[in-house]
Amino acid sequence: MTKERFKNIALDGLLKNNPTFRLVLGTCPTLAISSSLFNSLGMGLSVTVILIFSNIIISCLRKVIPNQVRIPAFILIIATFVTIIRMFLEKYVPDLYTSLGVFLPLIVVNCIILGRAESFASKNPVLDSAADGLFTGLGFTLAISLIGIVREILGAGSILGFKLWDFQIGFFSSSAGAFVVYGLMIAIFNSLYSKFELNRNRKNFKQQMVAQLDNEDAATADAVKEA
Amino acid sequence: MTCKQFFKSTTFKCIAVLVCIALVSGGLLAILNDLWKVTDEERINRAIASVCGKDVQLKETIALEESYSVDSGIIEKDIYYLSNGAYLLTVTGNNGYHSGTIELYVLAKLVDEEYKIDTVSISSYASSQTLMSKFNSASLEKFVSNPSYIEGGATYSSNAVRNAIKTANSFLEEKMPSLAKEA
Repeated sequence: MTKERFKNIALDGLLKNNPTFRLVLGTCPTLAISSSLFNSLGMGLSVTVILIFSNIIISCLRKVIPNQVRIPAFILIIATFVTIIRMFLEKYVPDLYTSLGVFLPLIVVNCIILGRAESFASKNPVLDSAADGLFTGLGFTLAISLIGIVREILGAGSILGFKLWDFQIGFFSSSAGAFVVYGLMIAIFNSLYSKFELNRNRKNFKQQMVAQLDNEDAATADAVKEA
Repeated sequence: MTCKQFFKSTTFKCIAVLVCIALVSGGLLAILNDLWKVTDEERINRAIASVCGKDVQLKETIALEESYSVDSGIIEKDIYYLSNGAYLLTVTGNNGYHSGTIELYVLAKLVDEEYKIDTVSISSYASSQTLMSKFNSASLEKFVSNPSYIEGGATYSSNAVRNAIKTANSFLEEKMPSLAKEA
């Protein structure tokens, strides 16, 4: 895997194809779990670990699994890793295990994991798939954590359980508040990303024009010399 | 299709791949389950820590000769005597949402020569109880102080919690004095 490829995969997962703000995948755990930063980080890191390992295994087996049973095979592999994470959290991080509740086993049918397995891991080498899993997971973690920060500060007046002030707006702790914060975050993210893309495209265009003019100048100079 | 043709077919390959993945996954999960199993002792210690704090230890386990059952709920698991002189009971309340049950840890302390409920926390609940996120330590305290309390938006689950507390109160009144003397 070249540096350029690694950079593209990283930017894809974190920004260009951010699963939460750009692709709007995995909405159920995003809305349900993001009432606090601790829960959001826990869910995000769990999804990241599962994404990395499931992408690696699926990529290793991509030439072995027949096309007709690829989805059941992917789900079997993903469910195995979800169960491993469940057992690990129940043993070593029981508070997080209790907080995540029923949304932990629901990671099996999270569109982000199945989507990346189907669209990337099943068609690319192992290292690329691992990197894609890592950065897509980090993109999801970043997104859900941002929502968690906003909802916890406004809804509970605290951050990571530490009380900041007494001011609380209960609306942001509810499901309706989750939708509002999520929608606003999508709008802000896409607006900023559009500006970033526009600036990048302008810069690339300028560079191309300069290169073209340089080439034309060189060609004219050569023609004059020959004459 | 002959046997030989079947073993060369895509159908067989599909079945074989799925069975192999299932067997390897199953084996791996069995090994990790043994390594990372949460023992009953660990569960009890976690329950004690969540209800009383980490300073309190388990001193003695009192096994119930027979389960204590009333209309509202049942106590069938062991009772735990703690280092701070309190008793930890596991109580199951009936008649939750879709006739589901909720299991509570109930901490009972001796107050004025009578055993009274000090704190409750949730142990587990049936999967039909979908609104358990509404019940935190603050709301559970209200159930203890007010026998008619209902958590807004979770009427049936509140019913199960109230029944569990009612069962615990009934047990503390009838059976606890004799159990405490034996201990």
